Amino acid sequence: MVNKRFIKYIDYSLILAVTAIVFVGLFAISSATGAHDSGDYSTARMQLMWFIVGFIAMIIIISVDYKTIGDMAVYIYVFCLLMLVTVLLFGKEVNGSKSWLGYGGLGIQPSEFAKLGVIIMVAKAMSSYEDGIKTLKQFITVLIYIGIPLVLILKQPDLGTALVFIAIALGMFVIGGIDYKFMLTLIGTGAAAVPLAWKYVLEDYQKDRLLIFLDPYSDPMGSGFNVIQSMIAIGSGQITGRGLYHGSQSQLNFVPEQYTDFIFSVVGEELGFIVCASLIALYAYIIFKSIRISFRSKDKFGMLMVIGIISMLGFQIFENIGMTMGIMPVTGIPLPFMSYGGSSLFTNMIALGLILNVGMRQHKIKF
Amino acid sequence: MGSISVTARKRLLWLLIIIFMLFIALIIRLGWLQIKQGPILQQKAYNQWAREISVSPKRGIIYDRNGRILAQSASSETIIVRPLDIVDPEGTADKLAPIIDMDRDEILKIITDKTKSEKWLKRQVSKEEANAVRQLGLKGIKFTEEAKRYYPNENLASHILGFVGRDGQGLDGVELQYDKYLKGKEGKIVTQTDGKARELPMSPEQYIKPQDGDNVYLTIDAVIQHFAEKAVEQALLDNKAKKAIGVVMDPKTGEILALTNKPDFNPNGFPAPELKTAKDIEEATRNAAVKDTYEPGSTFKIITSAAGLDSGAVKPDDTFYDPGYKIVAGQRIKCWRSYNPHGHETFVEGVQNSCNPVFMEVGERMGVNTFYNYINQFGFGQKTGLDLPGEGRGLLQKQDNVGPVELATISFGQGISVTPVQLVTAISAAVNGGQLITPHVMKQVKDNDGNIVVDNKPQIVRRVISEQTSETLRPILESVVSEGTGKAAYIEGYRIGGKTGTAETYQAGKYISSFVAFAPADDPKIVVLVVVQEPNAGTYFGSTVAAPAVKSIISDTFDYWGIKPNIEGQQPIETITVPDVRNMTLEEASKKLDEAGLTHEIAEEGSIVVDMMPKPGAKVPSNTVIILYAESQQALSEAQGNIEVPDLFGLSIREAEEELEKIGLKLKQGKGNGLIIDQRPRAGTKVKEGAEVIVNMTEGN
Repeated sequence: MVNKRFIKYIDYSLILAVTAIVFVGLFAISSATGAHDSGDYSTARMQLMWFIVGFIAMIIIISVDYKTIGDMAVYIYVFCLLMLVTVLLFGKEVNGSKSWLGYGGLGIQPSEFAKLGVIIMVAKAMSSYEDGIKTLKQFITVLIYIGIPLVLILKQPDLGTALVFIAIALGMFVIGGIDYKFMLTLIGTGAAAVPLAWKYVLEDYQKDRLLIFLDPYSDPMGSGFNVIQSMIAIGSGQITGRGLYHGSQSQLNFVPEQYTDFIFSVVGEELGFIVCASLIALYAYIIFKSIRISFRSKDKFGMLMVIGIISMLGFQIFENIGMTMGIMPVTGIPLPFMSYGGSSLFTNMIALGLILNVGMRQHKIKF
Repeated sequence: MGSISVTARKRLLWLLIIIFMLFIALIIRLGWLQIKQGPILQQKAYNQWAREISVSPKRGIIYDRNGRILAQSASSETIIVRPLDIVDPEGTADKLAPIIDMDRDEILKIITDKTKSEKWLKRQVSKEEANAVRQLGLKGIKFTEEAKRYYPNENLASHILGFVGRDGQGLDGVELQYDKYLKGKEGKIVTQTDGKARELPMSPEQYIKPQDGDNVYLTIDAVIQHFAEKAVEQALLDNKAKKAIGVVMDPKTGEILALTNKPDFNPNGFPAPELKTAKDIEEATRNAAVKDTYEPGSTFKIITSAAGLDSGAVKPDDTFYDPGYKIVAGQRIKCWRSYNPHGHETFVEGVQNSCNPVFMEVGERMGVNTFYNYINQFGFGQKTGLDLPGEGRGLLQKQDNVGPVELATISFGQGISVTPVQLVTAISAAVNGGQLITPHVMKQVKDNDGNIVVDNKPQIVRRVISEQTSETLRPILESVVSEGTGKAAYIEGYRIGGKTGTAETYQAGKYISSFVAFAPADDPKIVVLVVVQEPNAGTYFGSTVAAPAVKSIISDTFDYWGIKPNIEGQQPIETITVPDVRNMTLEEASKKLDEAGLTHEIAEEGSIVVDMMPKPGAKVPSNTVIILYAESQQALSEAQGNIEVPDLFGLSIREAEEELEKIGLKLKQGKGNGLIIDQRPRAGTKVKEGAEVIVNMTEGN
């Protein structure tokens, strides 16, 4: 069990920062679901429940030494793959994508958990290499670890999550060390893949989203509508916001997906610049604290795992907030700790637990 | 487990920097949207959720001074369509077409135009139509009330009231001048719509009540306005004139009691379809009484008299001698009755006779500076400040350019142009005790609860002449009517002062005849001016053309005010039998009428009187104007020849001479030195060979 002496090394400020973000998210969700008028707070309550469950999971994660988790990497990874296959076979189709596993109102998104599975698996593999990825065998091994779940997720299809996988991989390769030949190969392949993906992989709506990103006003009533409405919402919040539950953009459904992907627009409109800037600062704090933990990690596995999580969270934060403000293309990526979604919140709480785990065990234990 | 390499730590630092910059980018973008673009984006947000339907306020009522309604708004309904809410466009169009009398396809086009969230389907429909449509209960069809302007008295006071445009905005007259009070404040209904521009069924409608316009009370008295219009219209018709203007003002307060231009227009549903071009509209609505200037002629002698008396240049019993002309700077300027000079006369008699040399003398005595000072003080060449749009200034010659000749002509009212309102205002000052008062048509503005918003009290601009001068002037002007050239306005039992005026326009042969009067002469309650432009029925003298209208306005008004004629108080007028002066020369006739105690005017010039009005033997009061029609001697003696006199109109002397020479006639130069505007005998008359044709020409070079 957990050594009591580690407890004092837990970074409580990270927990506080995450909790603050989650609670702003809870208010935003209640506003975006019209709970204030209807009195139906069930969505926000569900999110709160997931936070509590996630919190408990985080505590459990903290109590297990991350090296033990590293030793179980293969089992975790295979379990995630099995779930991804299951969802393709038996999953629920929502918005044209088969990403849900579950029954009735309850459901989980295996792709969320798979992100952590891949991070742990890749971190484990790379930590055993002497000096980063140097041989072709190492390179191919890692590519396969990432490639299998990536292909399964693209099959759903869930482009957003697939992009998160690529961000994770890039982050871990660059920090963990990779021979520049392989890096160039990756970049070259990626560049070559863009036109191919455009032609064979990307669905029309996904192409639209990318085109719209370049010029949202090219189709203001169609696909560009979401981005424009989101920007109008955020902008009309001005410095102090229009007041919780009083954003016309959010309340009158001008902003799409306002309690999931576009939750930031609701906060922007109703709570204004001060709260939004504080939120971004809190996210930045979490990322910087995590980089510090990874920097001081006493082993390579811990460092790489945290780097993977930082890549995952950092990319999602920047992509999501950037998307609501029209500086990133629209993809279905939730904002960590804020967007409504149990699997996402639960996964992120476990990720937090892993970061704290690495952080608390980097200190020499003094007797 | 491997330990962490130094290069990995270096890369971590780089990651830190990159992520830091990305977060800074997010904050900058956030600040840009929320702080810099915030207000614009908030407006955009408002624009897309709020659908506003404006609700017109009821436009204020325009009343006359006694609370009679002159202009009033009644609300009518407008049908509005919300294309996005229309369920069945075809069916809707089918149902609407027969009710609102519109083409079905046209309706369909409007209701399917989804580019607009709201459109007018038909404006100003009747209550019945609106209710019939309402009963259909069609989705996406709404109503809003709009006010329509009514002028219950139609043409009455149209030039004062002006008119409104289709959106109820004041476009001319009082409607324009006091639009800010009359129009009220627009209200609106704000409804919420969702992201798909559909009206939210349960959304609360915000209703901002329109604020009805304030009511404007004019100084106009509808009854006097009616008298004035009737009289001026009559003057227009009787004289076959181009235009006639009437202004009635209270000289003590500056309140305009009536103001009319004929022809006029009906402001209901203005512009009427027959007014096709902007020029037609401008012509019909032009408020000449306020905007147009004209040469006042002899009516201006009142101003010369006032200035002369006030400056001390002349006293009522100063004596003058009129030889029929006055030499000014070597130029011989004739009196209007140069063929029978007035001879010895006092200043008062000079005014009665409207004797030009007397006024030239008075002007000369004052000098340019003094006279101009008075002219300026009386407000000529400046706007009076009347509260109607587009007031004219009139024209004054530059003081530096005024030499003795100009001074002489201005003193009898030529070489200066004034607006009718300007002249009435100046004459009011001359007779009201000497104070120039700003004329105005608005008396009060009241809100709908009867609270006074604006109270337009009489505004004294300045003192122009002394009380004493004004008091001296009034009986002199009264004598013009009782004994002098203003006889035509004489009403038994009333004391009226006044002055005629006749001026030739710049278009030769066309005249502007006017008469200005005030009554009662000892305590003026009204000043009336009637100006008749281009009378075309044989005579153009102010006394015959304009005076009857003034007389009618005064007597009607006094009747209406209950001012009884005071016959006992006045000396009975001795009646004179009109002598026969036909076949006399003009000089003989003039002398004979003078001896009999009558005055006269010449309607048709010549040397031999051929006809007269009234006819010989008629009993008339003393000083009645007898109108004489004369013909040239030659015309008479050389009539019945076989050569037809050609039409010389518009020719120069030389051209006319050549023309006449060809057919064996002679030319005799009459008045003027420009182009020929008049001839005796007239064109078409048969004359003998060698007969003389007298031509009159325009003044000029």
